[in-house]
Amino acid sequence: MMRARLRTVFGGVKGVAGNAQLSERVDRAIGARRWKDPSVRQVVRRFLRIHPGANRRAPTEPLLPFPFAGLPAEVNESVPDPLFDASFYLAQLPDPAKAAQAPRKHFAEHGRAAGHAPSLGAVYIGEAIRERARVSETPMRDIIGLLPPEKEHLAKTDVVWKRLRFCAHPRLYSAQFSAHELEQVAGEFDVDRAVSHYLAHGIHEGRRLCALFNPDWYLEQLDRAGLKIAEEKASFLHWLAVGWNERIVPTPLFHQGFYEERYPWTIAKSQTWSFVHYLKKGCYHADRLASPNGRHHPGGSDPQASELQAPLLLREMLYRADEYDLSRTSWAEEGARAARAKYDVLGSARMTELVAKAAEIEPLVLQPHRDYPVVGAPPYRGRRLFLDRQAEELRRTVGRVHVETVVLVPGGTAAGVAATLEPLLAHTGSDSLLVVATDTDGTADESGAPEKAYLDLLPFLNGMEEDFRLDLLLDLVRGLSAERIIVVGSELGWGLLATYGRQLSARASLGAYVPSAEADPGQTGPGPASREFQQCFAYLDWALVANETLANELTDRYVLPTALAERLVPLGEQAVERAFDLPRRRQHG
Amino acid sequence: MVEAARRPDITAVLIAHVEQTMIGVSFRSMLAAVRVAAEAALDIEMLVVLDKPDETTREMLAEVDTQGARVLEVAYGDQALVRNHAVGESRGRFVAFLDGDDLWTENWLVAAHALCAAEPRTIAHPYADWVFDERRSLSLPPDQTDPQFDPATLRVTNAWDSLCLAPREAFLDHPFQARALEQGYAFEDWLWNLDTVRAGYVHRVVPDTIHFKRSRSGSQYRLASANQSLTRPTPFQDYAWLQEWEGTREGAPRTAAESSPLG
Repeated sequence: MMRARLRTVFGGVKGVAGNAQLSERVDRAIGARRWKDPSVRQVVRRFLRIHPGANRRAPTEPLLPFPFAGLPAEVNESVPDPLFDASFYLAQLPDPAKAAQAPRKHFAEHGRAAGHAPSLGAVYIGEAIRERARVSETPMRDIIGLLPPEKEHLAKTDVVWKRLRFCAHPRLYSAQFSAHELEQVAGEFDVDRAVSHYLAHGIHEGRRLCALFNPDWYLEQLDRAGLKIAEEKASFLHWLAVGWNERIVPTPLFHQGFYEERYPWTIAKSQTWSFVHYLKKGCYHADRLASPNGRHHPGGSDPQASELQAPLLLREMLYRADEYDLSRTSWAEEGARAARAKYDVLGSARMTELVAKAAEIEPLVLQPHRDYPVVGAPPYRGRRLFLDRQAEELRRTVGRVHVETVVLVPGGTAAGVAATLEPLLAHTGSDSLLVVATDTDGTADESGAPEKAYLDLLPFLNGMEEDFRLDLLLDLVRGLSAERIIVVGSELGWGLLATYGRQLSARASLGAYVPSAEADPGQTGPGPASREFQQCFAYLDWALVANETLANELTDRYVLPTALAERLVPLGEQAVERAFDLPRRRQHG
Repeated sequence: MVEAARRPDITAVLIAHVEQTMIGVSFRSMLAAVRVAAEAALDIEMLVVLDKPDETTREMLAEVDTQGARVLEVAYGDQALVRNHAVGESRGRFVAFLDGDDLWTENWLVAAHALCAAEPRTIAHPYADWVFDERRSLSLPPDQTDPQFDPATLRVTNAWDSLCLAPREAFLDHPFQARALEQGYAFEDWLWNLDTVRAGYVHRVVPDTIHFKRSRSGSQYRLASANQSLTRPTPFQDYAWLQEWEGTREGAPRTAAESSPLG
């Protein structure tokens, strides 16, 4: 296995260098069982950690960002000490003894051209150096020089750069660019491009790479710890090299004591600093609270969050993004600061005295908490904060203040939706009807709705907990004072009727489309919406059913009396008119 | 009608049900706040209202009249109607409610009165709602004058507890609505907040004050939540009304029709 990986990895090097002799040497090394050499194995493991897909690359695809051919003299002629690691370099050579006397010279004369890396650190920042070289004659110095002087030796290792890489949050980084600027850098960043661009340009321009690093907060914490920093613009690298080891939490969004008390088993298992645990894992998990002030995100999960390095709290950080300098702060961070300040007031001498007096009457008020109490501090923090904001964003986006009929559809090309919408639209016209897609991505065209009468709710629902999704939809249909609410295949719509049908039916006429099992070849037994029908029929004024057979089936199954059976209207000519003409079952309040 | 000059400054209302021994704790907390208020030269009327009490709770409060409290017994079984009744019986210019298992910090009546007396149409809320016993949490309610607070969001999320201090007319003009759980309506305090904001009252928080709220299973709030209840319909839930209302408010947020792709 390892032999195969070695061959592939060094084969990749050969591809980069285009050097047949090197290829032979690699083959000889492997043939001579040098792959058993621990130092070679270590190099390969490290390469594969950095480039997990390396052994699957085509031979012509560059594996490493070397050689530095074509770069300024600073790089070509003398790789500075901070970026040259002799043992790392020698470990890549088939015959390290030949270079052992003067490894740097050997690298300059042979290794660079052969595509070898001067150090593991160089592997991480090689691409950034190349990018920086487009605008600077001293690209390497520009980057390494940003490390605290006493920590420059770390440049050749992977310590700082590895930390930097998993702290990179490309969505936040991209959000600091205008649309025009993003166009010039080939669009939104992914992790690799964000890291390279940040080291090459972003850090010099004062941009922020990590959502959980707040430069001003870090400087405040440094000051409290009695530590100084020479170059404020490089505060993030300072934290990676110094503050990290001092365990300084660089963001108001994370509370170490709270996190450690709440998730002790997780921290113990990972055997790492709790903040690093949050950075690597917790910030991608919907159920993790980062501080007593809340989780800073809407509560829903995102299976891609970890892979994309998009912490869930970015949703809140990017709220009202145009009102904040994202390179320094955000709504989420300012909100957390404000909430903390409000919370801290409870620790004042006056409050402490008042609480003590109350405790003389009822000692239970001082009963120790299992952990830090969860604090709601609206308008800055609170469990429903995100729902509040989404509701307002939705109201402003919809623009309309009233529609007669709201039709809730799943979105996309769900079976039966377009066929049901057609007669509805024909009867009501598109001006008085709004088609709301609630479950999946899709277009107005796919649902068979006119563009001007179509609302994709997904952008407002994404990432939200189920009960909040329902509350948001409830707010929409109530806000629009809809006289009819019709569910046509929408899962969330059925949920709305099941949960709040009792109250909604007092204000609006509720209807639904019930498809037949035959409409879905994979379905056997009752129709696809039979469970929903059962839950919601009590609130429905009518149900459009796929055909007469289904109407009869439902009538028989529930032994419906005639007055209720008549409310099952088979789709067909005048079906919508018949349904709409049925009298309301209940109207009160 | 009681002459204004002879009216107490505040009527402090303690509402009891079946709290049994715990009611003593709340009454003692009320006494502490009344004592501090008296030291500040405020005239306080104490009113204890028992709503469908059990025998033990009634026994516990048998001698509160000797402490200066007036005792009423009613049989509404509905928090909203009990409060309305208490307001009708109150004589104070301001009314402050305390639930039968909760506590105030001793400065509550003085500090809340100072805020409300200084600004007409002000409703005072504590700086913190400190939940204790079965569940523990802290809620620091918003001040309506905070520029970051958007009252339009009140239709989605309630911001304040009903254990406030407010001018008596705020309760008289906007009585609490009875809950109707079978129809799915509850949260009378939330609706009252919406009604009073619509009427131009301003909900403020009082620095350095806390309400200690006992969390117990079977509370009215938990029952209403489990029942998927909503507030009764209110204009706040209507986009058209909200848009018009925002247009009448100084410095209101942009209207809904702005920047709308659909509008």
